[in-house]
Amino acid sequence: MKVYIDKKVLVGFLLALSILVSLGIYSYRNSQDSVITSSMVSRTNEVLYHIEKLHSSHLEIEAEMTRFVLTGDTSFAGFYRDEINAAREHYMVLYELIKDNATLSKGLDSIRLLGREKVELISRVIMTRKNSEDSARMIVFSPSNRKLVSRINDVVESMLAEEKKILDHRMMENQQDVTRFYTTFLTLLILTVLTIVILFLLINKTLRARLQAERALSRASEEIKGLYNEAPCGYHSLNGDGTIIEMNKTWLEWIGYKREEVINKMAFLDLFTPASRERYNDTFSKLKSQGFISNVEVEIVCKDHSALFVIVNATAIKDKHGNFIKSSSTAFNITDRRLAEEKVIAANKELEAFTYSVSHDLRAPLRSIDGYSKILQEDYASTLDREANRLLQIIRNNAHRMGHLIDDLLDFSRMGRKELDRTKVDMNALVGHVRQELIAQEVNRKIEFTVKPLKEVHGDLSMMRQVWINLISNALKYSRKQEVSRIEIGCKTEDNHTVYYIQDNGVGFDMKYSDKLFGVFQRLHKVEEFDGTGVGLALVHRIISRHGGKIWAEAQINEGATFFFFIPLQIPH
Amino acid sequence: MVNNIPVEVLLIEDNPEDAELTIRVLKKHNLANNLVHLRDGEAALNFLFDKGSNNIPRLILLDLKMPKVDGIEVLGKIKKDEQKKLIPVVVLTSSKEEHDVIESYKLGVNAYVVKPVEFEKFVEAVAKLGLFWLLLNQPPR
Repeated sequence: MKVYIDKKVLVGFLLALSILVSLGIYSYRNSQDSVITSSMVSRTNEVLYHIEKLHSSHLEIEAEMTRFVLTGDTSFAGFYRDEINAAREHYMVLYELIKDNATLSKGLDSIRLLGREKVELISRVIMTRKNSEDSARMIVFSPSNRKLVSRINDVVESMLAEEKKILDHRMMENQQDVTRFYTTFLTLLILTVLTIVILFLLINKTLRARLQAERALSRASEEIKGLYNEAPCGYHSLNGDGTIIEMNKTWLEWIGYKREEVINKMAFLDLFTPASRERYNDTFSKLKSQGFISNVEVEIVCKDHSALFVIVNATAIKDKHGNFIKSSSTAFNITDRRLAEEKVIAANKELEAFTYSVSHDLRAPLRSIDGYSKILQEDYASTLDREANRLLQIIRNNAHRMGHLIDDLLDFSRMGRKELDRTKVDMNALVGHVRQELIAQEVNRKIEFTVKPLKEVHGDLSMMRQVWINLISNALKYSRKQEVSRIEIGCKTEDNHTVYYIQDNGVGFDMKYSDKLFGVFQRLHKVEEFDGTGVGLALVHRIISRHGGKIWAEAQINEGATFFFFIPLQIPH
Repeated sequence: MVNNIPVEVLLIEDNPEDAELTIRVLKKHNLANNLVHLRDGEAALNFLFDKGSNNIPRLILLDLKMPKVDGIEVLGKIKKDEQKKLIPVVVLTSSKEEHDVIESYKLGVNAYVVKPVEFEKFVEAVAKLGLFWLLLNQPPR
């Protein structure tokens, strides 16, 4: 049997029980004692009775003997015989009753001896009376007889006194026993009552606490039910057949069904589009076997036939033998997100078409401008003067420049649309290759190029390549005017991030324009000083941002510049 | 345009200036002797596939973005034809778009050249590809 009672209450019960049991045992033993005591008392009374009887027999015989002597009535002989027999019986009873008391036994023995003397005397009287009344009277009234009577009386008196003393003693003992019993009984009774009262209070307190806990629990369960129903996501549970056995209000509102139309009536499968249904079959068995499923995207058909996109996560609830009881599933409504994604995809397609036509339609006229200018220079060289040639060259330079701008812009836009393909990228090898390629293009330059060991990064290889191409080209470009160009690439660990840097001893820039550094077509130097379209760093910035990282720079005019960037392990959500 | 001399180069290009610049380069290198220039894909398909015509140029220079029928479609038709698919086709276009490059190669293009904006580079590109395909390369005969 399992005990649900509070430990204190249990102890109290055991205490009360043990008090009651000891009360019972004590009462029983006490009653046994009082039976013994009362039997002792009644024996004492019996002893007294028999002593009195012996005494009265003696006195009556004495009186009848006197009357016999005076009247000569012969009936005395029969009377005397009866009384003696009765006295003998009393004696026998007394002998048995008092044999354990020495004083009384001695008294009784004296009575026996005195009685024998008396019997002899009476026999003499009877014999003598037959012959002479006076002689018999002489014997009866003789001093020796009087002395015998008084001696018997004395012994009886002393025996009675002794026995009365015993009786008094026994009565007193009995009285003490009774008093002690009542005291103990009352004490135990009070203890029992007290224990029961304490137990009552304890149980009452426990019950009150339990009642309060039950109320709190039911309040909490109401709150949880409210949260369950009003949650911004869908909750549901499926039994082993895939039938919906629970579903919250949010879910029901999404799909437009009433609770009673769904619960225990529809399978979760029934809500799916055919394509999603195929996928769901696998997923449900997977949930049963592996115990959970995560981020399953399904398409739901609502009651009004509209589409609903949800992401479902579920955990299997199993009994202790591992049998599937039900699923505990969560659904997120991603319909809005899905529609937004579709819009983004459409917008991207449009953008793609636009850049395609830009690349084609803008480049062709530039080629014509450049081409025909060149033809003019070639075919009319003899008629064109120097100024005309210079003007034609300006036209051509600008056509070239615009061609570069368009190309860079297209690269920039392509980089934004390209999917990230993250892999482990060996930065040492990558930087090594890029450096080699770029330095090969620099002729007649003194370059001190240091590359310290670089940690690998988790990123898109082709984009990382573009980052280093642009950063190293910049470093080479802006340090061109130095006698010896010094470039250093390395990495360091800051706040658990690996920060890569590239430092040059070039012209640097004014930090107050640092916010313009990474903007598209933003340039901090004149085209005549350093060529470029102003897209390179914007492209680097876009790549780093797409990887979830950050890029920044530190520089001083004519003191060189340092660019820093880091790329986190995963893109933060 | 069609005469008894076999066509050496078929230039399919909708932009007249680009066509003129291309022809100028080829002429300079004596590579445009029997050159035919067509302005769109439809004309190219008629030229190549019309009944009775048996035009097998030695080289086709093909632009991609053209009115009516675009270059990709023309390329597809050429490379599906048992006889015509042997003709070397070089795409000469302004498009750097990856999907254009991939699509052209999937259809079996022989070369893909992006027209440079700078004229010197353009001249160099056209001259090199003309010399290669018409002089250096050995076509099936």
